[in-house]
Amino acid sequence: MSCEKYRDLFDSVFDGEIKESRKEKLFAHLDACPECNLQFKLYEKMISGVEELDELETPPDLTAGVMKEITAQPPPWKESGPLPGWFPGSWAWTMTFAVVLLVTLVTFVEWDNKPLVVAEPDQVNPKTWSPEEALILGRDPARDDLVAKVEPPTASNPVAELGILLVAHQGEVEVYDQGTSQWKPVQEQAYLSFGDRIHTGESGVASLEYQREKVSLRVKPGSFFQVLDRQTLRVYAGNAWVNVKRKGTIFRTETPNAIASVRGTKYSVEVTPMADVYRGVGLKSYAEFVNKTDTPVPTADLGLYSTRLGLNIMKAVSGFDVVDRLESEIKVFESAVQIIAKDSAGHERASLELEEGFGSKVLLATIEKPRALTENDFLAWSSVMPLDQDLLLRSRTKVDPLAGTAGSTPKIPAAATESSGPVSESDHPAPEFDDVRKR
Amino acid sequence: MDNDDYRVIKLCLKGKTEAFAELVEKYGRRVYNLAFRLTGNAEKSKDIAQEAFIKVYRSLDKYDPKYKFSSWLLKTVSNLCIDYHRTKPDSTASLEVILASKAESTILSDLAVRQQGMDGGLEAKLEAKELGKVIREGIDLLPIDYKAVMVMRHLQNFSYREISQVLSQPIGTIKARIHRARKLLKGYLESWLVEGR
Repeated sequence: MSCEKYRDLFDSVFDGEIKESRKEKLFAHLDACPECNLQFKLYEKMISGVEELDELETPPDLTAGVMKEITAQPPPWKESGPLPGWFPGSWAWTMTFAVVLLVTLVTFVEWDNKPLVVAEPDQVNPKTWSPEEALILGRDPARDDLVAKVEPPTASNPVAELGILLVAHQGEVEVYDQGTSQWKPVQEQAYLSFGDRIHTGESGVASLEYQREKVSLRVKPGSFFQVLDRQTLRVYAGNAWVNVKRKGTIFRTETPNAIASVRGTKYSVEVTPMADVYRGVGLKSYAEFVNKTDTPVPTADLGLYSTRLGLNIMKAVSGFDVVDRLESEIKVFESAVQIIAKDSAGHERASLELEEGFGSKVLLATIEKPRALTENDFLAWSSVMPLDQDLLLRSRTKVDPLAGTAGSTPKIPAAATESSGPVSESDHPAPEFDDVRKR
Repeated sequence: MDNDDYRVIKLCLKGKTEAFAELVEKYGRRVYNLAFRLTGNAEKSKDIAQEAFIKVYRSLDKYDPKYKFSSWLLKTVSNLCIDYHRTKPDSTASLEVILASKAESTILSDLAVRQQGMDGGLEAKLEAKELGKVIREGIDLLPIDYKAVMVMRHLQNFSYREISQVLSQPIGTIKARIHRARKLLKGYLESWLVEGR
C-alpha cells in the first residue's frame, strides 16, 4: 500500500471505524515511515487540539436576559388556544425518522468533554451481533407484525413442503426453536418454517434455498435473519448475497430502514449501523425502498424511495448508461437515500442523495461530466414524481424542519450541501441548474 | 428522552414561565460555546444564545417529548449563527484560499522530514504551546459548515448521527464534511509546522 493510501486511513482511525487488522498494518507502516508518522502525529495533535479548545464561561446575565424577554409578553401559543395535534409539520416528519434513530442509539449524548477514545472496531461496526445485541439495536424479532399476516403451515402445506432449505456450511449456524424458545445449532441442513429466525456466528456461513421460487442466498457470518414468507426475508443484522434466479420472481428483503422488492436479479444486502446497503441493484430490476418507521406517517407514500427515479436522474445528468455499464450501490439511511454508481473498476462515477424519498428533493448530485438536461428529462421524471426544476441539483433550498417551530426560515447555507465528499473534492459551490447545462 | 426537560416544558406550557429558567441554566453554557465557536465573537454569541432560547420558548407548544429538546435548541443556535455569518461582510480569507496560495503542504512536510529527520525539531514543534493557538486560528478560518461539524464532533463530542439530526443533513454528508474539514485544518497546521507561517 502506498503512503497516500495509509494516510487515507487516518480518518477511520479517529472515527473508530477501522478494522483491527488494518490498524495494525497502518501502525506497522507508521513505525517504518517517518513521513507518515509525522503526518499521523499532526493529525492526532490537531484533533486533540480541537478537543481541548477552551470553553467560555456562560455570561452571568444570560438567564436574566432570556427571562426578561419571555415574561415581557405572553407566548404566541397562549393566544391560539389549545394545541393542534402533533404532526402536520415537516418537523414532525423529520422527527419520525429521528425516533428510529434515537432508538438505535443506546447511549445518547455525553456532553462532558472526553479524551479521544478510539473505539474497538466491534463497537462501531459489529460484524457479529448476537440476537441480544440485535434487540438492543432496536431490531426486535418479537415484533412480528408481518408474520401474523402470513398463513401458518397446515397439514396440507407442511413445513417441508415450503421448500425453504437452510444449509450450514461452516461455523455456528443456529435456528430459533419457537417451541422451546431456544437457539439450536443446525448440523447440516434444515427445512425452515415461516417466522423462523436464523443466526450465523462469527465464522458461520450458511445458504438459504427457496427451492420453489428459485431464490438462493448466501448468508455471511454475524447475520441475523428471519424468514417471513415465501418472498420475504427480514434482515436484522449482517450480510447476504441474494440471487433471484428466475426472471419475474419478486423477492423482498426487509432491513431496518427499508424494504427492497427485487425482480429477477442478483444483489447483496448488508445492514450496518449507519445504513442499509444494497449493491448491484440496477435499473433492470424493480427496486423500491420504503422507509420504515415505528410511527404512523401522515402520507404513506412519503416514505417511498424510488430508486428508478434516482437512477434515471443520474443517468440523464451524467450521460452514463447506468443500466448497462455501472454498478449501483444504494444506501438507505433513516432519513435519506444515497445512490452511488460505480464503473467496472469500482470507481465512483456519480452519486445522488435523496432526502425523504418520494416527493422530496435531490439533496446532492455529484456527477462526472454532466450532460445538458432536456425538457424530456423533466417530463420523464415528473411522471414518476412531481419534480421542480429548481429542486434538481439545488438541494440547498432544503426546507428547515424547524422552520415552523422555532420560527427560523430555512438556514441551510449555500455551501451546506455542496459536495464535499470523497467522491468530489470540489471546493466550488454546487452549480446552479443553469450552470449544469452549460458545463 | 430527557424527562426532566419535558417536565419543565409542561410547566411552562401550563403558564409557569419562570420554569424555563431551569432550561436556560442547564443548556446555557453549551449553547453559548457553540455560538462562540461558530461566530468567533463573544458579544454576538451572547445575543445568539439569548435569541435561540427565546425562539424555542415561543414555539414550545410544538415540542414533542419523543425528541430531544437539546437537538432542537442547538439546531436553532446553528441556524442563527449561519444567519449571522451571511450578513457579515466577508473580511477574512477562507482557509481554502490561504492553503491554495501555499505550496502543497504535505509535500513540504514530507520533504522537511527527509531533510531534517524526525529529530530535526519538527516533532518538538508539535509539542509547542503555540500549536493550540494555531489550531484556534485554523478553526476560525474554516468555512462555517466545516466549522460547525468540527466543533460538534470534536469539541462537543456529538456522534455523526447527532450532528446529522441537529443539522438536518444525511450522515453521509456530515461525514464527508468532517473529512474535508480535517483535511483543511491539517493543511493549515502543516504549513505552520514547515514554514512557521
